[in-house]
Amino acid sequence: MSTATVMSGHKGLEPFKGYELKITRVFDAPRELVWKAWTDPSMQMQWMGPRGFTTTELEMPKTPGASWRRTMEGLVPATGASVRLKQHGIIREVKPPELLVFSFAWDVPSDVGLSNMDFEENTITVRFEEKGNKTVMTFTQGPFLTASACDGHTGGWNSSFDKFAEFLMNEQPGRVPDANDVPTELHLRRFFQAPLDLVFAAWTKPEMLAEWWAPKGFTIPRCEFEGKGGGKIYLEMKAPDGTVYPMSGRVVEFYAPYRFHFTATPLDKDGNAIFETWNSVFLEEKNGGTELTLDVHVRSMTDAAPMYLRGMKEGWSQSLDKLAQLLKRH
Amino acid sequence: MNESNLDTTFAALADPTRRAILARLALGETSVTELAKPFEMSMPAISKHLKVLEKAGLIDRGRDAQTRPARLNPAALKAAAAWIDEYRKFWEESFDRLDAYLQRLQADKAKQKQAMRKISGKKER
Repeated sequence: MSTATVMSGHKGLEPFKGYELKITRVFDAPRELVWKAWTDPSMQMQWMGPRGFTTTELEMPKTPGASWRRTMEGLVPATGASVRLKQHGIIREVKPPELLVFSFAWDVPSDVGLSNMDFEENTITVRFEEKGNKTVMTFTQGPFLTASACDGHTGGWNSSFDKFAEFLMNEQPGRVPDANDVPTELHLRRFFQAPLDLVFAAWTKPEMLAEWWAPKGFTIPRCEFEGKGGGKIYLEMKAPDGTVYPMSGRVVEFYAPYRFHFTATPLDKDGNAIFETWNSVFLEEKNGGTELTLDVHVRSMTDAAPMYLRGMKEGWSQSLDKLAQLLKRH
Repeated sequence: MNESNLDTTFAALADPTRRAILARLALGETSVTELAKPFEMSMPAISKHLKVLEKAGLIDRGRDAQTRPARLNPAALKAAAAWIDEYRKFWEESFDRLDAYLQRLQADKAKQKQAMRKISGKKER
């Protein structure tokens, strides 16, 4: 879950302080392991960086006042050329196993499309709280000078934390998922025997999205998708029984053809949100085809959420019966 | 579990503090004081959350007047956990359709190429 919020002063007397990024994640791992995975460079290097990026260099001392440095390598959107991104800062506070505070800056902001007008060195605070045998991490970064610079960091950090979650699971081979767990995250991976550009087009061109983004038996009579930061998403899924399920959303970040992040909110017939998800799509060329990774986080939920899915499910199982009848006649 | 119960369950689960409380209770019966510790929250605030969870049938409170320990009610959660599995199925079915669509597109492209070759082949003669 993440939000870009305005840091406000008291009673309007203080000047505008800037935008703050806040991400809260629950990891299925004890706090000691989460702390170690963050602060031991050999471990952090294995997960830090959005999907498609690898940390190749990391200096991370544990003394306040000392400098840290990181280099990540990955592919540049659109050109497919390799790029090295460097970050640095000063460690401010280290309180094992609960608090990390450090400053953050890009060596070359223009490498990530930022200018001096929208980014200055800022501060990251990471808190770890124990919740049973899980850990709640609260990550805040700010201030950002513009909302778009703030949004522009959201996808990257969330993607790093998706890799972090996978890393933590691999570090605990014996761990059994809680029978009483109510997960609010979904991670799906699928291989398609098709070139990367084609898969990306199918995901981002509205006329192509309309061919598949719905359950079996549904049609998509209306589909809008603007492939750019801040772009609009709107589609209507029509069930075989005629019920229309609208969905609204926003593209938060867009890095063609490898990665994009968007929110998706199914709406009820009055246009109210039923639940809201944060989604990250990552595409990678593999074995002559394309591997897709989708990370979904349910950010908020109302009472209507289970009914929505149940209704859709009923819609399409009925349609399958109809289809079976139809096919019998031919 | 009937539909209206499931709705209350989800309203109860929509709050991250309440989800964290449930995660803690998964380890065993706990007193309110113990539950409040990690949250830096006042006792009345924690009690409010516990009331919501109790009303939703997710937890039971013990009868000990002094401590009224809280305990997880597992049946309620099993139904709630199934929701995300249904959402996963939505995506998996969509991916099935995407797969079929991509195969169709590439097959059409191949047919077009073949047709073009035939035409240009004829032209060369």
